[in-house]
Amino acid sequence: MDDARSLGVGGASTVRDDDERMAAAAAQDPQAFLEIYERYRTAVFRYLRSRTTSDDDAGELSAITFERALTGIHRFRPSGGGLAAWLLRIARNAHIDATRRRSGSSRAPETAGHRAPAPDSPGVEDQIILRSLVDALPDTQRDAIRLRFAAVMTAREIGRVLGISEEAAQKQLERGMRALKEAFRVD
Amino acid sequence: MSTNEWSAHRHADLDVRLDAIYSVAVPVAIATEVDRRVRTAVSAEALIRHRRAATAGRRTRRRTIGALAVAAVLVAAGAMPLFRFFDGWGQSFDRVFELSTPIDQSVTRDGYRVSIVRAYADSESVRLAITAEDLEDRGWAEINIAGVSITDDVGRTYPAEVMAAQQPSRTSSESWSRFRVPEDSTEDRERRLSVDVIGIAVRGATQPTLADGEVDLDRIWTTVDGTWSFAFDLPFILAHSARPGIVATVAGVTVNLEEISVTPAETVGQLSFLGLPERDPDWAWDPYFHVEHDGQRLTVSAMQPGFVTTSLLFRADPGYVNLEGLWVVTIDEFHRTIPDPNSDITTEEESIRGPWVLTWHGVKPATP
Repeated sequence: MDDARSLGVGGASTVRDDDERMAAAAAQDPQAFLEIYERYRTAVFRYLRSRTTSDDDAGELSAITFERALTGIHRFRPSGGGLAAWLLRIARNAHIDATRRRSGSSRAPETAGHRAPAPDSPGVEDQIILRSLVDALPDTQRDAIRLRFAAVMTAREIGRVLGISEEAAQKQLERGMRALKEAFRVD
Repeated sequence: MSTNEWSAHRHADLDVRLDAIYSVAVPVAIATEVDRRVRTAVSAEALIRHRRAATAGRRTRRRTIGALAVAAVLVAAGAMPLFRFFDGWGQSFDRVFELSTPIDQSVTRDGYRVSIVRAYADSESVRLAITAEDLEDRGWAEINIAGVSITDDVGRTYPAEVMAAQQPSRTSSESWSRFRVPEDSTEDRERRLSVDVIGIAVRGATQPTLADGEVDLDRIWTTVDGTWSFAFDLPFILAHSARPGIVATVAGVTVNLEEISVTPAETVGQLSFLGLPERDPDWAWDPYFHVEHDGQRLTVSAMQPGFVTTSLLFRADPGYVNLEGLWVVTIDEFHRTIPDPNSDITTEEESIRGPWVLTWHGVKPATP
């Protein structure tokens, strides 16, 4: 799989041009969509895994995300923050929809389950504590942290996904990180 | 280590720890399944676009379903009997399979035998039970058909929608595939179909890897080229349809149950909407609804379009032999996310709550 860290590197205009080229090609020929899928599948899965309770759920929502993106690729606008932000927004909405449907139209508490680390791996206790601290953050801070570390997104891209400015996204990230550091120190 | 030293250590490497938590590896089984589903959707989308181009303007009724319904499910079947169960397939599977017609045609090419075991058809869909076997036991871990093309005797193509497959042994697989009846189809009760199985998909016993050690998804499955061709006559079951025209109005939004149609395989309904606020046609409403027949809740398997402003066609399991009984369609709410007009980015969510309840009594058709 592609390394999700390839997201956000390189010049923004280069990424935007490349996104525009890939989206235009996929709008003409569905086979060209596979280039988009292969570039972003890891980031989409990791982000959804951070929001879901199992690998299976994250996989199912990943498939739904790309199926929706495939049929809606003609709606992609390069000015909207690039393909990464567009796909992650679809992924986020897919998870929100799935949560609503399961809970009978009411929004369920969003607490992600995680694959348990191997019992003898170092820092297991810290990981469990840190995960629960992230889960306890306010919605926007929590999502910003997940987008930053699971999908390796920039503040600008996070802002595009969450529908807030780059500056606001940066503030949410900083507040979330500060809260985690405070809580981690107290604990 | 003192408490302060311990805290400082944690503080300094918070980024690293968060990175470790969220940079998870994708399990191979999950990656393989997602990969397979997306590639199937891409193939289906190509077929759907081709069909749209070919039939544009011929008919206005929306009878077919888009690529969102496309899924392929591969199941490790163990000792399951032939064609008894496919995980992920709708609950009407067994009923449809039992209604299908034995075909029992086999074609062997390059040591691979493909057989069409049974087939079913109605006004909405064609379904095929196909097996693939590696007669020379080349050591593949999995084997499956790669693609199927159906045309009838007047040249109409039947786009593929869904395939479910299972692997009863290392050298064979069995699949149950669904194809959409084209929009310009006639009401012929029997048609001659030509079926081409195009390629055999195989997976090796070991996972191919990239230089960095990650699984190379592009090489997990490879295709054995070739075409296995079949032709047979197949009876088509005609759908029972009605136009109830039942309406309900709540919060200024009127919902109309325009048409309902059943075959033994599935139930198809057409809803229309009046009064849904529309800001941008690209950002329509997601209806949360359910369908019941005589108190039994149906499973909605597909919708077109998935998001609505004026109309919606849904497909649901199970199907019925006729429309007799009490039908209730309930829309609980419409939901949507609203884009930022300057950036095409979602900024808020909006709902219109009902419920809109549409009740209709279907009657048993008169005996001819």
